[in-house]
Amino acid sequence: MLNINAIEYHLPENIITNQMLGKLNSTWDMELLEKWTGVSKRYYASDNQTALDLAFIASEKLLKHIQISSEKIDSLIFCTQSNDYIMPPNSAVLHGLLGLSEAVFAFDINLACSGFINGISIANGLMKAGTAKNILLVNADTISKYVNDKDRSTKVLFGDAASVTLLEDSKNDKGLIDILCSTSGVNYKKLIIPNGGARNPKTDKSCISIEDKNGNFRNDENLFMDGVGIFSFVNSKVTKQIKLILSRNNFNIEDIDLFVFHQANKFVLESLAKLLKIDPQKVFMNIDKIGNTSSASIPIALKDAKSDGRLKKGDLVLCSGFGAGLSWGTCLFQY
Amino acid sequence: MKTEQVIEKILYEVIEEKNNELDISMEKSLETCIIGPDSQLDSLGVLSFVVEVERAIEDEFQVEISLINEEFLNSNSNHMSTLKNLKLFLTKKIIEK
Repeated sequence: MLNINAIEYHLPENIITNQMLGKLNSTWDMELLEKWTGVSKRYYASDNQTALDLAFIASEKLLKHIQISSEKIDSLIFCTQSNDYIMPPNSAVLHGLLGLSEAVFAFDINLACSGFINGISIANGLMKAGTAKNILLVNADTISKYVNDKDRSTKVLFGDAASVTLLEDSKNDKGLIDILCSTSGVNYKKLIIPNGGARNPKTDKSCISIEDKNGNFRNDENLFMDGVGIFSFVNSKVTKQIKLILSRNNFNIEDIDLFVFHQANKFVLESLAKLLKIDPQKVFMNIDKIGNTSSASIPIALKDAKSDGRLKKGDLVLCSGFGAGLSWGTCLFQY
Repeated sequence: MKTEQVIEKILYEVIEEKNNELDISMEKSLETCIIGPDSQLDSLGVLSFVVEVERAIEDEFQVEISLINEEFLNSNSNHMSTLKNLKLFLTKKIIEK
């Protein structure tokens, strides 16, 4: 059974407070934005620091304290939307930096906020197929590099981070109980960076920022987020998936000890709790300290929940991640 | 006061709150746009508007309504386009419940 053995994460050194953002954008009411989004600070990678750099530091931390030898790691899954190169994949570069064995099956997955759950699902498949027993799942992004400094709808929310999770094929009776992953490709434009890929390469015009009617600036190389569209997707699709995974395992909302959702923003987290009638005390939130860190947000939240004493051995935990694609995934496990 | 009138009062109170918070001037009129090119609210502003309306409706009528729902995602409903459409949607939902 797939089990989470250990999680480590690394945040870059540049702390960006709301006061700092307010100084750069004098028309933004940062007190109000903090009340709405729940974010008081976030961390940004420096100009020459990449998601891979953050992942390398997190991986070294993890490999230092895990109880198994790094020689026993037989797969490395790197989930990112902030690759160092078009090719090779980040997983291969990290594999080299960590000096892992040639027997390691390393590959990237290109997902954002659903990437931790999708990564677990892939790891679970590899374990069931007998391909791997000890898998490093890396979730790292530097979304701050894609948001416009003058777009308050994204600038306030996102931060950079890397997490590394050691997943093991364990013989004990605790671990992954069930997992569901879904996609709604027709909605792919709701969360998109339009230019910079093969479809729409960067051009002289794609980097020109244009002010919208609300005073936010954005260009076609920046992250565009249809915030209201994403909210409707979470309220409908994600809640349905959570209800489905609970019902098909004969659990009720009340049976779950801790809910760890992708830390999108406070609106989303509070809406999920309200619609699913979850006791807010059971919904873990750390968005205030680090912002929305894309696919790293759930593993970071799990690690923080454990450090805070909110996640204990034997707890029944439900994690759900949702974002670009649109894609979403939910897993249920006993810690 | 009729249900429709109470809803309209709630909507106007939230509009006033958003005007004060965001230093904008949305009209207290049923023709006022909430979402779309003519709205004065950006995505965060819309979400805060929605949260306030849902909370006020729940307090007044003890009815839980999700305004940004699957119908909205699938573009099958234009209930968030104007205050008039939102008022009609809320009235229908409250009477149904």
